[in-house]
Amino acid sequence: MPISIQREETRWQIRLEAQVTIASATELKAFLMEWLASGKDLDLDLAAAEEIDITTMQLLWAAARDAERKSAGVACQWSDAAIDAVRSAGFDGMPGLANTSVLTGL
Amino acid sequence: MSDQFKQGFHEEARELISELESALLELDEKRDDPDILARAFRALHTIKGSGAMFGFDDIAGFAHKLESVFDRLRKGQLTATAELINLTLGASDQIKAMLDAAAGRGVVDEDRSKSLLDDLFRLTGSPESPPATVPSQPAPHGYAGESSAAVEWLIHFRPGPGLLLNGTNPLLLLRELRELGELEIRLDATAIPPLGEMDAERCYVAWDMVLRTAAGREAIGDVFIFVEDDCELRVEPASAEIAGVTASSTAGRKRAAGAIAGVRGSAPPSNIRVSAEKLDQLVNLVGELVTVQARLSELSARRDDADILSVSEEIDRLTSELRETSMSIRMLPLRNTFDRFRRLVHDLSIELHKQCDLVVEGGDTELDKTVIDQLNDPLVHLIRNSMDHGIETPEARQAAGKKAAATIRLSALHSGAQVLIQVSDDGRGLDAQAVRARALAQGMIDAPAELSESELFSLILMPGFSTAREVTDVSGRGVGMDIVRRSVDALRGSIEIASKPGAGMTVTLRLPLTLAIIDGLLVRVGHTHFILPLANSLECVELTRQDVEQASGNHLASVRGETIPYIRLSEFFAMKRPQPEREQIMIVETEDGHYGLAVDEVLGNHQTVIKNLGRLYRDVPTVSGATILGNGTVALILDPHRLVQNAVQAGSREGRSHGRRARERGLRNQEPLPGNTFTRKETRIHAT
Repeated sequence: MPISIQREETRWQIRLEAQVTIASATELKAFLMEWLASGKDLDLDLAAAEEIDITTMQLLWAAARDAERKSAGVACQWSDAAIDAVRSAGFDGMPGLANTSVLTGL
Repeated sequence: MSDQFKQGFHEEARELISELESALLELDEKRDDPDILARAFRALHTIKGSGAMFGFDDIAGFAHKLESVFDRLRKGQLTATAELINLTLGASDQIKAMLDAAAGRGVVDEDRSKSLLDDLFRLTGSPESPPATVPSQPAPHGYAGESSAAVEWLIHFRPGPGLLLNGTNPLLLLRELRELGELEIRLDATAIPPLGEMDAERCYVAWDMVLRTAAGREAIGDVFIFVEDDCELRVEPASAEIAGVTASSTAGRKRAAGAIAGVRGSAPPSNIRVSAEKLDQLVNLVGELVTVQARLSELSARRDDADILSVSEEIDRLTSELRETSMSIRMLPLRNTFDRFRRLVHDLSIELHKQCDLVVEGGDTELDKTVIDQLNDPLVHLIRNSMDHGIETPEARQAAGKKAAATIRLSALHSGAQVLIQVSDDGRGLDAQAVRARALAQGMIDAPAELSESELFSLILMPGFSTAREVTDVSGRGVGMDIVRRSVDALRGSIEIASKPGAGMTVTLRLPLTLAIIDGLLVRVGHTHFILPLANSLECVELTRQDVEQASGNHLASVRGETIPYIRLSEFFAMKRPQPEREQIMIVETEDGHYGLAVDEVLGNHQTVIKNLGRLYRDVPTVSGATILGNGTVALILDPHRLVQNAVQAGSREGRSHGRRARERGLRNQEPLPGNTFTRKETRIHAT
């Protein structure tokens, strides 16, 4: 299972491991929707992600943008492979990668 | 990677290999045609790209090496030779073997892969070509945009919404672009909607890029070659100066027109892949629906309720449209099947040291997929037979005053509800006396048997028959033509053979358009119903007892001054029923001309779901199947062509003695039905 979620009192954590691709996109979207509805802050842990694809990036991008509008906090940890993938696709404004937010990074 | 994507790759790769083979065989005839070279290159490039994307690294690596060679060919750095083409054909077989191995069928012969590549490098003089997208040296022929100086290109790439679902990974395309030079990218994520509105598997993003590279437009276009139908793509030179340089390049102009102006529309892909199994299921369900609809029509006709009748008619119309649409989905052009035989003819020409061209005609003729699937084997045998036995050696042909290169013609055309497929050659033809002698020697006929030429020729379709003196690797074992006959019988088709000694032979396969549902005409004889295919039916005329008497017992009807012979179905099928005052004659079109079929009543159109009759009726050639009527009874579907042919042959045999064994062995297909009373009286038909 490449995606797991921990629902704590104050912060939630979503962990993405190994290959997080289109095969798990629907599941990732469901978790992200649930988190956005909770109003809690999120630790997004991609430290063990070996491969992420465009579907994953799009979902994280949309979730981070929605969270920013709702003033929910997102902290990210990235693996080198995930950083390479995100930068090679031009998603430089992802949370935790640069000072720019996803909103200003558009 | 899901199995679905891998399966998709397998299917795509096999189509690409067919395309590659087709291009190679055409290249053999036009060695320096740039369009053909580009086709071969594109096929290899796509196999490589898709292979790498789906994790088939061995296939991708192998295809890459071939692609490098074809990249040099299309740039004019190498010349296509027969040896190179044959070697690449062998290599395409090896890719097929790799695909089979990946699907769990067999193992890859690594030594063969290595020896093919070694031979390829020996021919092309380079063991390690650079990637096809990076030119190794300046192109001598003004290759589009090729120059040693790096120039900037503006690239806009917006993947189609379903691109990711097809298993394509745009990140790999971006990586491939980076391999060409310096790449700056700018993501356009403005189309990504709020999370709640997103389709998680859809692609929303686009990229605008600046690429600084020495590679030309063609190389950039090649990166997107296998997604070009599912994306919006613009490749433009960054400055007008470069645009001018590019446009001045003759070879580049054609591509430039496509690439600059060729903004790929973002319209959804026009084709989708559907498994044949699902199509079969659809057609089966439509068949059931048609049968139930017939029952509804029957019921509504019996009740005097205008509302129910109106609904029934509406459903009837919709069912009919649904049937036509679902049947049309299964209709495929024969071109792909025909084109596969180019390779067969090419390989056999080498093996048998003969020269032969294959001419394909009527490749657009469409036929039901289930029929096409079963057509391959008989056609392979017919072509092998022609190549091995029919076509002479170039020396023998020249000695006989013919061109050294023989021609095999493969053609298809519609004829009513049937398709005629012909395989003809201009070889030595069949020697009727040799066939007769062989049949006698093999005990297939008796010495006194008098057989017409076409009956003699049909003997070559018998099991174990062969006039070839030697058994070769190709044919001559006496099993091939028997397989043809059995395959065609299984399709409820027929075979006709015509030949002139010294001039060649033509084998005509007459096959039904479909094995599923047809438009039929429901007729009644006594209490029995029959279906006639509508496609063969021309018109209906009335036959009174007075007409019969005026014809003095001859089975002839006068239709607008034309005398039409007819067959009375009640007599043909030995049905006992009182002679009606009036009969109706359905005029049908057959190969032998217009004939009438006399029935008691023509009831009207009928959507006919074809059901197989099973083995018991396998040898009844005049009946091509059965269908279930609305009242639950069964109606036999008649084959007018065979019915008439049967009558003609029964008549022409009158007075001649047949070899007993010939009848036992297989001419039973030509025999009238058991108990058939179609004898002296009906033979008069043929005198007209």
